[in-house]
Amino acid sequence: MSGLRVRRAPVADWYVEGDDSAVMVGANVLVLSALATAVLETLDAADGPDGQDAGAWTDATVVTAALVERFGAPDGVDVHEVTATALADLAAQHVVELDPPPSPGASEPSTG
Amino acid sequence: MTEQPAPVPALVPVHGLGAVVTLRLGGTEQAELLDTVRAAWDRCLALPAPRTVGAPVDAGVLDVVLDAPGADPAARHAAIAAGAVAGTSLADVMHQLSPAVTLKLIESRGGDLMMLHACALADPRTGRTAVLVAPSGTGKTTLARTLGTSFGYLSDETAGIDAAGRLHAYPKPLSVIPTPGEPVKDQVAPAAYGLLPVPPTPVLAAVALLERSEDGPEVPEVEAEPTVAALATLAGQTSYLTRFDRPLHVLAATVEQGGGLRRVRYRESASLAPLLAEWLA
Repeated sequence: MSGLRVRRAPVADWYVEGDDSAVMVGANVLVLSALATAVLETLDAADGPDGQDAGAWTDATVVTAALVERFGAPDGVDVHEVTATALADLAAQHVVELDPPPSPGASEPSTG
Repeated sequence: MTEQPAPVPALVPVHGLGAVVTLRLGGTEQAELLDTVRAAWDRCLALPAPRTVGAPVDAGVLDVVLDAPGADPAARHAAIAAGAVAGTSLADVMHQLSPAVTLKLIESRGGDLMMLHACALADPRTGRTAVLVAPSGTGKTTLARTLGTSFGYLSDETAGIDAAGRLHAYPKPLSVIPTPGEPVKDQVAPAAYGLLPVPPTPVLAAVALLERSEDGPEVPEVEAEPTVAALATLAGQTSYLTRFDRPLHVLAATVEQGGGLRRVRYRESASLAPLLAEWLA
């Protein structure tokens, strides 16, 4: 995951309730898991309180650190891989953008 | 021999969702068309409840043409090309008219009302209203026919809800398939089925997603759906949702005003009566 950066994609709306959320991309509404919601909350915080830094890239390592802080580090898995998979899923759904962009067909959406 | 002057089009205002579309009726069979439209759409000829909100939104004009089968088709074809509902069969013109009116009305309220594909029924005394969401062809009209004799009939097609939770009624004719397999639906005035009128101040009290099936439970099964999941469930049953600045927040507010989304599995429409009575109490 070295060098991977991420930012929120422009979406129509994002509604958060508790640990879960729903995001509207175009005319489609996706329900996001707690993990995916936490990713967006991390990126939202990186955009600044008034969104003054919106569009800026965030290192994926920052996202990983936030997820570990929130959910703990699971045993026996590479947290960076977990983050990379989650980000790839969200990118496939046009919820986030990645730099460098994922290669075509690199990930099938599963986070939803 | 002098040429007969063209008949003056008859104008009929049709109200719904707090808007009004003006039907401009013409054609060689204008008189028959006028009588039929007035009878079928009788509950929409004046502004339905709530009447305290202000003047209706202008949804424009819709031309409607009924010609005798042998009439010169040139003018009719020109009218169709310009967006009119037109034909030589009264039943077919009435069948086409209903979705055309609905489209005009919902277009005029996009980004203003939350509009759900739903049958809306209200307690006739209090106006507390249940919005019963169901995709096309899954029983909204049957539900209206069955329960609208006990609850005020607001719509069998679209429920329009404003930010204050008020329902803007659209008591259109019921579109009923006369015989199974028949492609053209009859347009039946609500009064013909004894449906109760719109109460004066209908307000949202419940939102339910209906799932009817032949092997569904005899006693309806109700399951509460979390609001986040409800947004994904309901988004596809809205009209012009993306016209709102924050569409999910507006939809969530509507769901919350209705006490959260209830998912209901059932078999027979009549079995829902006790549930409605409970929700609207």
